[in-house]
Parts: sequence; structure tokens; C-alpha cells
Amino acid sequence: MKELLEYLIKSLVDYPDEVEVQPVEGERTVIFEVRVAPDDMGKVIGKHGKIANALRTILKAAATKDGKKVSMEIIS
Amino acid sequence: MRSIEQTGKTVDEAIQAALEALGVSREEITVEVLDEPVKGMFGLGTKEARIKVSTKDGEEETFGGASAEDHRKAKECFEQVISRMGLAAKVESWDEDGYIHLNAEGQDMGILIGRQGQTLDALQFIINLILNKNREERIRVILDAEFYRERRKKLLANMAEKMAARAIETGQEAVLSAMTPFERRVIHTTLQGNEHVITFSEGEEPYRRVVIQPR
Repeated sequence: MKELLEYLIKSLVDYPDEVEVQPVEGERTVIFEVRVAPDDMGKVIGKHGKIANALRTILKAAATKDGKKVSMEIIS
Repeated sequence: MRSIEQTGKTVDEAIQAALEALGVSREEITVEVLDEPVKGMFGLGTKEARIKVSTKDGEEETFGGASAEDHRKAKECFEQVISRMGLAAKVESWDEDGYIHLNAEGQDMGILIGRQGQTLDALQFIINLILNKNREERIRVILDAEFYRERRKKLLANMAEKMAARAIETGQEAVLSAMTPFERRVIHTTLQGNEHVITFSEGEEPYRRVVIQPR
């Protein structure tokens, strides 16, 4: 799942080398903390958070098989 | 350039319906008001707003310029995402009306589709962004899995006709259930040529729904 998110975000941004995805595992949940270059923030959030929400939808779908709850936070 | 005529209770409503029918955003069209709406009293003398909406020149040429290389890239991107989602599928690509169509066939495609096609819509949105990054001429990609969109389109078109027939028969408007923009577009386009009804959407996403109103 980390790979999926990394792939999508690195493909979206201008500075892929500065993309960092860190899973924070809880008992039943995983929160993916995402860090990108300051100039790339808009590219992962989008108007009204549209891009971030689409990424969350994809992430949730990928997690259905594992039965874990996943979420994503973009850290600035 | 494509243009359509659209009616609605207000000019704004007509514009919204036209945008959905054409599948474009507000910046991509020009609006010509043919008739201002008249409110009337006690339902007498009421007249709907009538507008003509045209897509701006050149908009269409910027799409449809998809090369074989674009097709290969689009297919590869979809395949990469599918495998990273832990799924296995075969992806086919073809050109239709200048759009790159991609369809995935395999196991657990329900995961790729999601409720009401939500996951497919999210993937389509992101993949379109990725493929159009640093590109002047935009290309448009339509993602599908097990031809879900095709099947859904037929189903919705059928339902639209049925609901329109009922609205005409009873003289009462039919309010459909909440749908995604893609699904609403199917309803609007299906009934566009039907002169006995008008269609418009109301409510906020994700609860936005189509209303079919007898004329």
C-alpha cells in the first residue's frame, strides 16, 4: 500500500525525490503520513482537497483485502 | 465546437444541466441566453430560461491528439496502479471519440470499481492528472473494469427513459436517487432529445440528483 501511494504521488509531483510516505501502524489502522516539497503541496491536495480525497478513495479500496482501516495525512 | 440548447427554471440551472450533458467545466463553454425565465403567477405565464451553450473553439482539437505512445503510457500507468493495489488484471486500450479507453479484466475487479464506481472515478481522475502533467495538449483517459461503465450506461439510459415516461404520464416531476457526475451526465444526454421533459440537477455533491420535469 505504501508502494501504491508512493507511485501515485511521485507521478503527480514535480519533485519526486522529495516525496516521503511513512506508515504509522496502529492496531487496526494505518495512517500514511505524506511529505512533499512545499511547491508540490497543491499537486497532492488539489482544489477543495479533491486530489487528496481521490487518493484516499484509492487507498481505501486497496486496503479492502487486508481488512485494515487506512487513512492519509499530508504533513506540511 | 459542440453546441446544445438547454432549458431550466433559471439560467443557472440550465447552465448546470448543459455542463453535465456536455461533460465539460464552466470555463470551457460560452453561454448565450435565448429566453430569460419568466416567473408568472399561480403557474400562469411561467416561461423557462432557454440558453445555447457552445464549447469554446479549439477545445476539442486539444483532446483527441493521443498518439500510440500516449496509449502505451496510459495503459502502463493503469497496470502499475492495479498491480500495486495487489490485483491482477489484463488491460486493453482503444481509441474512441478521441478518448483513450482502458478496460481491465481480472479477479476482484469489484475492488477497482468500488461503490457506484467511486474507486474507478478516483483512479480516472488521478491517472488523467498524471498523464497530463507538463503537457500542453491534453489527453483524456476513460478507465473501466469489466466494462462496468458500459453496462451502467445502458442501465441508466433505460431507467431515464422509464422515469421520463412516468413523469409525462403523471404530469409530476421525477426525482432520481443521488448519482456521480458521470451517471448524471448519462441521464441528461439520454433525455436531451426528448421534447416532453427537461432535466436538471439539484443538491450538493455527493447527494446531487437529477430531476426529470414534464414540460
